[in-house]
This record gives sequence, C-alpha cells and structure tokens, in this order.
Amino acid sequence: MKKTLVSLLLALMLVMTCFAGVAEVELPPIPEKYDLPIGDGSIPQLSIYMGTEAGYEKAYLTYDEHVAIKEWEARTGLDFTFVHPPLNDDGTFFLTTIASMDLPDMWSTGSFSSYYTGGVEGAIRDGVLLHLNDYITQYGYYYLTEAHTNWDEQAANNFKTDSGMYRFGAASQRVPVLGQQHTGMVVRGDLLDELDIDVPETIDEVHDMLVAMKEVEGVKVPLALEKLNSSYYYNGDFLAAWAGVTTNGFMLDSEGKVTYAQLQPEYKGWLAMMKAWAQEGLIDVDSTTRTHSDAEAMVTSGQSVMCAIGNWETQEDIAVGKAGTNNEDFVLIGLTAPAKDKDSVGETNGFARPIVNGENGNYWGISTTNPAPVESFKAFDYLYSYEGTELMVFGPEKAIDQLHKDAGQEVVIHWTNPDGTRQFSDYILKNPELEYNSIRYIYTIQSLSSEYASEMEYMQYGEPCNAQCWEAWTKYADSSRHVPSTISLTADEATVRDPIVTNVQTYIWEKIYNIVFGDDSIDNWDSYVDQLYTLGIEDAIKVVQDATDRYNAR
Amino acid sequence: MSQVKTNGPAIRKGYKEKNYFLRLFDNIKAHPWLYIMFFPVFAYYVLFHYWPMYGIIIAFKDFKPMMGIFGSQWVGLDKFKEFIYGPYLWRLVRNTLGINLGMLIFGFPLPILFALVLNECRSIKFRKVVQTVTYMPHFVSSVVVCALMIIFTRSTGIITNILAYFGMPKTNLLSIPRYFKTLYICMNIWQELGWDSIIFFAALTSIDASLYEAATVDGAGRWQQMWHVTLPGIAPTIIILLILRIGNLMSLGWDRIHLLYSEMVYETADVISTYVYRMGMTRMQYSYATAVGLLNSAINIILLLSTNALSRKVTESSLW
Repeated sequence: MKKTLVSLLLALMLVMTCFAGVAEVELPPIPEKYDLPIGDGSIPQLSIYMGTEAGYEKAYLTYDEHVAIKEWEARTGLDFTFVHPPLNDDGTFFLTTIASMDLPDMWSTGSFSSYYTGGVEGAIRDGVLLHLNDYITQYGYYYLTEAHTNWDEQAANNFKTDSGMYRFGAASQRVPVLGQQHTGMVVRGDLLDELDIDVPETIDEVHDMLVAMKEVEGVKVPLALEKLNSSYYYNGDFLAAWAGVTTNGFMLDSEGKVTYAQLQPEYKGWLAMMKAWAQEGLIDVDSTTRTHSDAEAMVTSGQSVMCAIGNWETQEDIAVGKAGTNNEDFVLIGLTAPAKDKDSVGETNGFARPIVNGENGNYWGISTTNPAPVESFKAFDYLYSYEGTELMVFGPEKAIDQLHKDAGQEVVIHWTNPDGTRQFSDYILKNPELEYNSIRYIYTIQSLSSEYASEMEYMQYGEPCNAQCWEAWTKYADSSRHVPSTISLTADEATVRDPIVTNVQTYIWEKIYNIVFGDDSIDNWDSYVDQLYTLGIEDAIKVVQDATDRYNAR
Repeated sequence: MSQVKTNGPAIRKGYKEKNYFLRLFDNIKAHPWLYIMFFPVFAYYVLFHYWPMYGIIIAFKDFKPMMGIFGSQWVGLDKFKEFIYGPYLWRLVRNTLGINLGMLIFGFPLPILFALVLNECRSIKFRKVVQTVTYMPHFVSSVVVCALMIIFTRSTGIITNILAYFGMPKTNLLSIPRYFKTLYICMNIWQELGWDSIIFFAALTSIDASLYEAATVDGAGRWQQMWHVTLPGIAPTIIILLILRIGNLMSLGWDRIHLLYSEMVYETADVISTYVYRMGMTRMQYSYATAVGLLNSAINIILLLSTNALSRKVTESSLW
C-alpha cells in the first residue's frame, strides 16, 4: 500500500514537472528540422574526447566498438573515433591534449569547467572551442525543442550562462533524482540497532555514536574519511555545515555576500572538532592518502562504520558489506546532516546541493579545428531527440550479447511499455555475470545522455535504502549558502581568481591537514588566515561577488 | 742510443691548418663505425633535448596553445617575477637542495663504500649473488616502489611497526613533514645502491694489478692497499660523478615525490619539479611553469660550471 502511494506521488510529481516545464522563458524559435542521416559519406572520421563509464571495459577496448555508438553512426551517417582520458585524470591528460594543439574534433567532458582557466567560455575565448549559440539557433532543432518543452525559469538560468552562452550537453534532470541531495553520510544501521543507539541528529550525538562504536564494537577507525577537500564533502557539507561553514572555498555568508569558508571564524570550530576526533582515534591520518573507494571499502569490510557516499553507490555498498563482513544484517542508513545542538535540529542546511536541472558540468563542444562543425553539431543535437536520448540512456532495443560476442546471440536490452515508459530487460537488471551499474554501460553511454530519464532512475534507485538516503540527506537541505555553480567569469576575472585560488588552496590545505592530523596547533590558525589576505583572497572574493551579482540580476 | 725521428709535429701542423669540417670529414672517413655508433646518441640529443629548446620562449610569453608559441602575447619577465616574489620560492629551493644534499651526503658515498667492501670479498660466488640482489631493486618501477612505501609506512605498515618498536609514533609516517626527506632518501638508497656501484666496480677492475703486487712487496696490508692504491685508482671516477651530481643539485625528478607526497607534507616535500608539474600540467599555467623550470636550469648550469672550475683547480680532474 505504502509503495503504491509513493509511486502515485512520484507519478504526480512527474506530471507536475512536465506542466511546470512549459514556462515563459525567453528562447530562440525552434529552427527547421533537419533530415537524417546527417553525413553523406564525404565527412572524414570525427574524433571525440570523452571519458568512459566503469564497466565498458568488460566488452570493449574503446568506445569505437560500443553498440550505442555503432547505432549512432548508422543513424547519423557519420564515423566517430574516440580519445579516452585515463580514469581519475587530474587534468594532466586533458590539458596536455589541448597543449598539443592536435585537438579532437568534438568533446563530451566536464573537464573544461574543472581544469580550463575560465571554463568553457575561457576555451572559446582562447580559440579552442567554437561558440555554439549560432549553431543552436540555426540547427539546434532538438535542443531547442527540449528547451521549449521542459525548461522552467530555473532550468533556463542553469542552461545559459550570464554571458548568454548555452550549456550544450548539460543533461536534463528528471524525477525522482531532481531536487534530491545525492551525496551524504551513511552509518551501519545494524550496529546502531545492536547498541540500541538512536540515529544521531546532532554533531555531539554523532561523536558519542562513533565513540561507542570504537569502544563497544571495537571498530578501529569509526569514521572513514577520504581527503577532506574531496567533492563528496563540500557537495553536502554534512561534516561542517553544523558550524555554519562549507568545508572548502567560496560560500555565501548569512547576508548572502560572497566570502571564503576558511576566513570564517566558525571554520576554526570545525577544525577543532576534527582535531579532537583525530586525537580520539575516531578518524585517522591515513585519510590524507585515501581515495573515496578506500573509504567505502573500510566500511564494507567492517573496519569503519561511517563514510560519505553517493546514492548511486548505496545498493552495491550494502551488498558488498554483507559479503565483506559476513553479516546478512549489514545495512547502511543515510544520516541527516548533523545539527549543532538539539535546538538546531530542523534548521535548514544551506550548504547542501540538491540536484538542479541543467546544473551538471558536462559540455558537448566542437573544436575550432573541426573539419565538419555543422554535421558534428547536428550529431550532438540529435541526442536531445526522443530516439537519441533513448539510445544513449537505454541502449538499442536489441543487440548482440557483448559479453559473449563469439556466440553471436541477440539479447533484448530494453523495450517500451504500452504506456510509453521504457524498461530495461532482466538481461540488464538481473544479469548473473555483471551487476546493473556495469552491464548497462556496455549498451548505454551516460556522458552522451541528454537526460536522466525517470524510468531509468526509478530502476536504479527503487530500493528502500535509496529512498531512505534521499529522505535523510534532502531533509532540511538547500543550497542557499553556496555560490551558484553556474556563475561565469569574464576572461579578466578568471585571470585574477584562478592563480589566487591555486595559491590559497595549496597553502591552506597543508595547514588544515597539519592541524587536524599533525603537530600544528589550532592556535596558529588565525595567522594562517592572515596569510590568505596576503595571498590576495579579497581580490578573488571580489570577482566572484561581481559574477554572482550579475547572475542574480538576470 | 739512436733517436727515432718522427714526423708527428709536421702532421699535427698540417692537421691544424685544415678547417674543422674538413678535419671532421677526414675523421669520419678514418673511423666510420665509431660515427655510426655515435649517430643515434647524437640524434637523440638533437631531437629530444636541443630542438625542443625553442619552446623556452613561452617562459617570456602568456602562452595560449591555440595562439601558438609565436602568436602568444609577450610578457617579458613577468612570470619569473611572479615566482621570485611568490610565496613558495624559498621553500622549493630549500626542499630541492635539502633532498639532493641528503642524497649527496648519504647516497653518493654508500655505493663507493659498497663497491670497495665487495671488492675485498674473496668469494666470487658470494660477491656475484650480493651484486645481483642489490641491482634488482633498480629494475622495479618507481610506481611499484612508491606504492610499497606508502603501504609500509601507513599507521599499520610494516616499517611503521618496526620503528614503533624503537619508540617512533605509530602513525602514517609519510604524513609527518619532518620524516619525509629521510624516508625518501632511504628509499632511493635502497633502490639504487647496487646500480650506482656498478661504475665503481668497473673503475676498480681497471686498476693495474701490479700496483697491488708492488704494495704487497712493500709490506702494505689490505687496509693500506685500499687507502693508497684502490681509492686513488678510482678517484677520477669519483670526482667526475661528484661534479655531475653537484651540477644537478637543483634537479630532482618529480615522479617519485609526486607519488609519495600529500598536502600535509608540502612544507618539506614540495620541490621545484613537483611544483612545475602541478602548475604546468594540472593548472594550465604553462608559461609560469616554464619560467620556473628555466630558472632552475640556469642555477644548475652555474653550479656545474663552478664545481667544474673548482675541481680543475684543486684536483686537476674536471669534465672539460
């Protein structure tokens, strides 16, 4: 009954989202629809720079052989080849590719926002990428159809920078993920039951729970941390929000003005807590070299009881944890960001980042050296069509089993129900050889998906553990204290901000780690803050404030 | 005793009258195989070390890849000033010099000592086994060695546990700034001791055996033979290698440090090459990184020239 009610509510949300999408947003008219195929055989092979999804390697060496790409090529009449950066590229491969001046023809990547000075707009100014606004107004039939159909005011703001550039390639978010806080802290629910401890709500209760886990359950390092400047932390700030700060970087103060987290007096309080926890052995110094997977593995192997995860990892972590601890009762439950004290429970955590339509950093770009920019643009634009989206999100309806190519047996990947919803087959959902999150990427490609389709998301996040995590993480959560992630800086502003932030980050994280885990005293913190001013942090704050003001004035 | 007349001086005079290229041509004709063998090395240096040098220009420009080296805006010495007046100059110089001096003080004499000790060993079989065992770490990839180091020095690692037995803290050793240099130097000595000693073994074999016989006849013991025959015999090799090492005092490969360090130990671990890597390869500040690298190379050249001149004056051995 409860499940039916939830389904009905979600369906209602979906319908409301569709209606809400028909908003009065100023958009260019939809241009004339173009014919497929786009290419006539005369276009040279086009190279695409794109990361890979974990799991594809079970069947392919590169995406050149991917069944969804083969189908995309057949429909567009174009021939693609791929340049894949190594997994966990720290920007080295991406920037080296650009510096080589031997540019790939097309790009599907978030690396411009992460590593290129000035982001996508910086790359356009430097002559690396083409400005696609004219292409969108002339040829963007499917992109603008999607915009006219589904963008509300917020989506329109997110899909367009304040300089007027459209974020081409950013994916549309749909329910059930839309509006959810997608990362957060989880704790071993079975051990809480065993110790008869209520789910902690305040930071002191979290502390007491960790102490109990260490002392009673003998857990070695109760809280498994990865590097403290990991995006898992400042995308939710469940560790620092109680103190009124974000873990790292720019934030809005209580007046809505841009400031820097490490300059706030409250930051010292958070540091003091972390140092105390380190001294009590609740967190450990190895976290300075630990990756996210390491932290997850510590929980799933029973060495820790609490860590940060994304909701896409919840089901798998529980399954691995059951095997890793040899305990069928192993369960992870999501924690609401801890409040400062009991009186503060229920206050808004403005440092969360619930999913917003069009906010992801992925970008489909076309290099200035591309020999066929119009055709390349149309090939990307096609992925905003219903069929194009379906191909990349659900894969082809049928394909040769890529796990056993030699057998040549055709398998069903997905089908469309009479009510129009799409459904993965059991071959994808219950494959005995590979789990869902690996096998689906043998037939689908996320970074070429223009939409996080609802049906797919329901299939992925349909378990109660996912619903519980979303509920806990999203409760009292908004992003009102974060600088909007879609602000854009001018070339001059980026030139001012980026070197300062580089120096500040290098300097301050060294100090933070030495205070929390090393011999450095918290009493020295004020002098470190003074050094941030010497490094020019106020100039960086000013340019970010200007960009935020422009964004808010739109 | 009759004097042998030679026409040597006359030939040398005629030889000198020819210009350089004619002499080179004559030499190539006289020793073609030597030049054929030399060519790949020559090509390697031209292609990979001299030809790319034109790229140094970007240190004086605000380099944008799509504008090219010559199309990018000229900014003169701005990037050098940015580094010199920036917050990290002295720390980087201190760390680069500190680690290299540590390697020089401990890492340079140890292979010599090792070669001398092993040279005195009578059992050839034992000597060969020891040599092979000590060479082997050199062939292990830096990535593997550093990964082992990270694991062994974690709070639960074997090295940490052994050191904890002697009173050291049982914590992640690589996260403590004051231990980083020591750990790095020890790791390098372990990996390169055997390999670095090869050249000294080669020098030892070139010492004339009759000198040892003469020393024995004169009543010299093993210690005196080592002191008065062996060490002087390999001294030129030691001096040449020392000059080369000092010439590289400001150079330190970035890869191993990059694999081992973290923000927590930048204070003692961040060196010029890792800083150049971070700025150039992950922060897109190509011109700035090139300026830092160029400054570093200039200091290296000055060090090399000074050491060479000093060595020529004091020991009469030098590179040129």
